[in-house]
Amino acid sequence: MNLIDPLVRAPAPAAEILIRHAHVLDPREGLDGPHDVLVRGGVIARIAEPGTLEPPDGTETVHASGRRLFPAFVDPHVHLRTPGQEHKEDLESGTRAAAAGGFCAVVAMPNTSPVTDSTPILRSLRDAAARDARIPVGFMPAITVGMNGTELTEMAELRAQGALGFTDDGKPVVSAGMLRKALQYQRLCGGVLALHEEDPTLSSAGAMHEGAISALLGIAGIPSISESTLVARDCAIAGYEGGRVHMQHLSAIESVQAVAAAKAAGIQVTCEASPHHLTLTHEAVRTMDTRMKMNPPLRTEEDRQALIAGLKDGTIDCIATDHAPHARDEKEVPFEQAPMGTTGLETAFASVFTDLVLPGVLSLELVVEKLTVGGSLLDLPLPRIAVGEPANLTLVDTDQVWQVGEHGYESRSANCSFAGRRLRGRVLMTLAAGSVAYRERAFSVTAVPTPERTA
Amino acid sequence: MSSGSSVEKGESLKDTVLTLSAHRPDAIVIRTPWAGSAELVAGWTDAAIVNAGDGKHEHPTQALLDVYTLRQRLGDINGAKIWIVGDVLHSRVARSNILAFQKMGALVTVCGPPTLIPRGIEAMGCDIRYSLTDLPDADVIYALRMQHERMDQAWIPSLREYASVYQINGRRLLPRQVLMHPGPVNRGVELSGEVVDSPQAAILAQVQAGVVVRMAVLYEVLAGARAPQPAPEPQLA
Ligand SMILES: [Zn+2]
Ligand SMILES: [Zn+2]
Repeated sequence: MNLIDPLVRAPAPAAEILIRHAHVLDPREGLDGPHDVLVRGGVIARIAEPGTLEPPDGTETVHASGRRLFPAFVDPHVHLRTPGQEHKEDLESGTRAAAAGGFCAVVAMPNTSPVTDSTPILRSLRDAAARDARIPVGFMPAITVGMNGTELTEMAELRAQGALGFTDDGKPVVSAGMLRKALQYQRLCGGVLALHEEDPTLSSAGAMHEGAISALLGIAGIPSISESTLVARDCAIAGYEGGRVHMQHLSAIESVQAVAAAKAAGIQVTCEASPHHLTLTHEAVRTMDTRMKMNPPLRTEEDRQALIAGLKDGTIDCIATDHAPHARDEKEVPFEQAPMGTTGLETAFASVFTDLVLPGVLSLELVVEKLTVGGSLLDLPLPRIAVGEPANLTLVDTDQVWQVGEHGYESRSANCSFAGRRLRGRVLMTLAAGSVAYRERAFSVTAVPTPERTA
Repeated sequence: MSSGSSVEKGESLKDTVLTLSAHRPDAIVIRTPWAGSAELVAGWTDAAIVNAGDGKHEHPTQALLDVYTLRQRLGDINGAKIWIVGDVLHSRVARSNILAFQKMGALVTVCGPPTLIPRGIEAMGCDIRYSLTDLPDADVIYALRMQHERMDQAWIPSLREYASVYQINGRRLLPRQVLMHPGPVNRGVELSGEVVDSPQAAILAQVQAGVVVRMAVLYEVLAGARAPQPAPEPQLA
């Protein structure tokens, strides 16, 4: 098919920047040490020994000694709530939050109001992104009309209009037959199918992980098998049809095992895990804090460890935030009534860095790799720190400790599961597609200058 | 705060509590269908909050009155074997009583249809049984109310079968055992009529205890710790 660029953003001036003395880390390019990086016309023009490059006229110099420069992150799974729920987030605020988190591209989910399931809606979203988006945004329209699971969207036409892939995220494709048809149709139109795996007859009215804590709280549980059975089923269908699927937000050990088995069988499946599932468990739900309510739910320590092991052994391909903003009053209700979702773009790196890299659980290289690779699973270009590449860079102070507050987010919403935490690792600047998309400003109540370890 | 309250008219719980708080009450007694409501509300008002039941989570004053009733009957409940029988999954009474009885040193067993015993409940420290075979071991049988609507979602095949497997009746209740129930009873379902009327039944004593225990709770929050402290006696060296 003749495809147009699936990524859209508002026009922005091409960066002319010299970043001096930064510790550059791009594992794929074999970079791990201090360098000067010169960006001219939005393109990486030179990478040289530290202190050797002089800024050409009209070039800004950033003194980045002691700071880390990574290829910018790409999030294949965010909810920008546009159209229809702009009180939670819009393209401008959502992409601003993403840039503040070090992301140079994000992929927006279609569970909007109305559902993004037709070319007029997709076209109007792309037009809006061309006005409002601080960083490039890709759109994944729905697999089924209205996400009702009963008829396919016009996938070929949507692809021709820039659809990156398709997903009914927020809901599973309940009917195996419908998913099979979508996978058959994928042979015509391409585009990965991203799947939110949840058997509704098993998750039912559940609001948290089914286990010891749901039993204690008297809150209906969402059993792990509601996810893993559908993961296994859909891997089998994808294998039969030779199609490509991407499993969203894995949360359970059984799901990790199902994906590992499918990969071993040669099935074209990729998958993601979120920072909150990698760092939190259902213990956090004891207080019934609605910021800890998301779908899939936070599960057990065993599940969390399986996700970490999956990242290490390659079963889990990437880290994706599933950034899911909700207005304050929507979350200021009893736990069972609250909508599911946590924001995550602005805390993604810091939460994983603080809870997994600093204690030595994951290497910084692996985390950078898993935060950057998500878009490429959906056929987007991979951000690389290499001469001739567009500048997709994130500059991070890995010593800065900051408090995740009640307020002060770039996102329009504040329902962050890391609220109240002191995290280490602060994004100072993000370049996306050759332009400066973010520079740090006061984010939280206090930026704590002392580089002390946090719990 | 349930039937007839403004929450039912679409006003948020928060606005309802803020409106009530504007009258500067000393205490608010709250019953809602949602777990955690009482704790949530406590953050929005200076009034003392009494949880009168939050969803399927807890019903603390029921547990207090049940412990009070049992101590009246048995003296000490330390080491007593207490079986809680029925729909544990949907019962806030069961959850509060598991905690309260264990706190007083009792050994708690929950028993009911496997579909109505929550997965993971053993983490609360109780035993699990799916039949009444070992019921003679129990010193106290605490039967839960079987809601008719549990039939709708196929939690159990039929009330008839439930009664045949789990009903506490004259055949199953021993003379030395104490029978309790949070009320109101479905005669002929979880309890047979004969046991409700038997001397082992403490059900009416529970109702009576409800009044004194809840008076005590209100006294505690209104005149106990929250009351102004008397001026300290002058210390004479
Ligand atoms: Zn989802
Ligand atoms: Zn999502």
